[in-house]
Amino acid sequence: MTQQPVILAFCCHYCAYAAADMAGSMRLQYPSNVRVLRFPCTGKIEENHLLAAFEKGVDGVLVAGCLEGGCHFLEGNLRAKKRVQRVKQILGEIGIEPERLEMFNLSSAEGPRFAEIVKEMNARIAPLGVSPLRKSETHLENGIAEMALQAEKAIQGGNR
Amino acid sequence: MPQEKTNLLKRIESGKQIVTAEISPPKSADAASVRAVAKLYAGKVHALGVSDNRDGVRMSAVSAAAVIASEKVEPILHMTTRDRNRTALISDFLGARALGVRNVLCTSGTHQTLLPFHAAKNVFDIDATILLQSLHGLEKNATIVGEQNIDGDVSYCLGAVASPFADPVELQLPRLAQKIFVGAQFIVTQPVFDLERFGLWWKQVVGRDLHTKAAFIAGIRVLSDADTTRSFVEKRPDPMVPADMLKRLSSKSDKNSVRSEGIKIALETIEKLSAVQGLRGFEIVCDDDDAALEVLDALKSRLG
Amino acid sequence: MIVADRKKIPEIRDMVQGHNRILVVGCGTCVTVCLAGGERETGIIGSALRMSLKLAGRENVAVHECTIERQCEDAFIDVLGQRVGEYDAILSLGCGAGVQALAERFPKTAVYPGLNTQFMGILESQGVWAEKCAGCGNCRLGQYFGICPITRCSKRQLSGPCGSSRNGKCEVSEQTDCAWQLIYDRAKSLGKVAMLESVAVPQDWSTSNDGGARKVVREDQCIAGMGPKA
Repeated sequence: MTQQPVILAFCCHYCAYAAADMAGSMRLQYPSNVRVLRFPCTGKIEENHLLAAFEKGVDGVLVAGCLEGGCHFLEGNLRAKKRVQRVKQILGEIGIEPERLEMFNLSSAEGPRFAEIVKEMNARIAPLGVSPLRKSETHLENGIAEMALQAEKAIQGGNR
Repeated sequence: MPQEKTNLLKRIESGKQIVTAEISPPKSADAASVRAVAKLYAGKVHALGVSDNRDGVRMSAVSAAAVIASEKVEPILHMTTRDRNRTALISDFLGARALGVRNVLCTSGTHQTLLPFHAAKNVFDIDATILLQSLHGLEKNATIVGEQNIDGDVSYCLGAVASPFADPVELQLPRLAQKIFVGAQFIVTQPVFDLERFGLWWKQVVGRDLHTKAAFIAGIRVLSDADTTRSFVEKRPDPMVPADMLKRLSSKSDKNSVRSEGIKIALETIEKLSAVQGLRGFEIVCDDDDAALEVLDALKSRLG
Repeated sequence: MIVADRKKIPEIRDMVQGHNRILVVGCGTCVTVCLAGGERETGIIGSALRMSLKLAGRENVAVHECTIERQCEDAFIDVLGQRVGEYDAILSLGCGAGVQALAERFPKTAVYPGLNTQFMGILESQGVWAEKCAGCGNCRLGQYFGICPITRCSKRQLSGPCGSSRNGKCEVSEQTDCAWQLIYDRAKSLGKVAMLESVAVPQDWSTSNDGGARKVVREDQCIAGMGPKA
């Protein structure tokens, strides 16, 4: 079983995903344990998706959407913010540290900010350690792959 | 055999000034403390109101009123519709009268969610108006509790509460008129601080000629210490204490001067209300009996 | 509709203690509309319960989810029929009626409530539901211009506002409208304020739950020889 924490980034196609791309092309250094899932908008992310990530054993989840007021779909990121709050509450009830989940806002031009966010989440998860819900690396990897597939489906639906 | 009218009713019919006070029964089963309070007020009031679990659970108002009656002080039993249904209210009314308690004030009571027993189930089977109507007509019609009639003795005196500060004002007056129509012989107002609001309300009372049909008694709450004043002002519903009154109280630093300022404010309010044509009297309320008695003494010397 | 909201996860986890196979059953009717027990919420509660059980060292408990169209009607419960045998407990995300309908239908399976049923009400604005009807069995909305003082006045005043109404709000909370302010406003707009001058008739509570659990029987709808159960 890997002891390296894994962070899942639920990224909006219009901002955070582009920022992550830019961080890559700028060759910015940031921890490699982050997996990026692309969504058409953070407003497309359901509470179910966030809980599923934790159930599959992910150690931290960040939701990255556009700057407030800058959502391509007007208020998708504001909805995401509220859903993140609700899932934090449920995580607390379950007994998982709510700080394993956070919402961030950034623009597509903020490659360095994306790298910073990933570092920030890592620093936050480090003292908490690996999720007590982690089963095995295979289980986790399969789970992430499944979620990526779902996210891509959402993108296709979103672009139609 | 019909009993004599209560002193309160005789006083109401006399047209003279009425002075009452209100006390709360103890949070205990201690009858001696009720007797002691009754003795304090003996000879100083025409009747003594006994609140019904007003701000927390207390000795039953019926029992406390009976103890007070045994001290030769005439009690006014408060009955709220919050904790008892029509059966219990009517039964308690008969029981109270058996124990010599014959003045009854019908009220809906503060909602239990605002009180320490907030987990209690409320009753609110009937409201205060229907309670008044039921108690008033028992000897003719007791169908509300499935009886033809209950007793032939009408020597009791019923009262109700009025709120000069409540909304919607357009319905408060009809409701007050209904209370009088169904049998309220006296009306006690919620504590008066804001005289302007009171004046507007009084104009409507007079406009409907209600003051000639029942005796209106203004509630006077003495704000005798800073802590209780603060919690009183912040409580729901807003008692509408004017800001300058609060300023006067909060400008006093030590306990004694807050207390004397509170008494002063109460006396000033009484003074101003004394000029109101048709208002029949005052009911003094204070957690501090000594402060209430000071106000009563001042009131007495003023009235002569 | 019937409005409900979810119970907290620790309460649910403690309730299902001792069970190894749990079926979380959502309902597609009222609680779907009020976002408390539909398919989506069934997924959320199922997932949360699995995680919570795992952290409590009970990873081997199977928690599965399904949602049926209507928990309060036998015909719709039918689809659960065979599946229920595989489980030793049902966590119902229906209203109190749904929970009891499942319990009646499956005498050998433990049934637990996952929701707290709140009231009969309406969607006031997105995400806000408000209580409107107490089901008293003797509707007087006609006398009160369409605003129910039994449900919406905290003191169930039938004769008029209590002395604690302030600026249109109830004594109980700044969030609660004074029903009598609403009754007055509406009577005024209908030009019928004078109707509020008369003394109210006391409510006969025997038609409400005070008369015991009620039944509505429609003989014309009953199949011959299959009238009410009791």
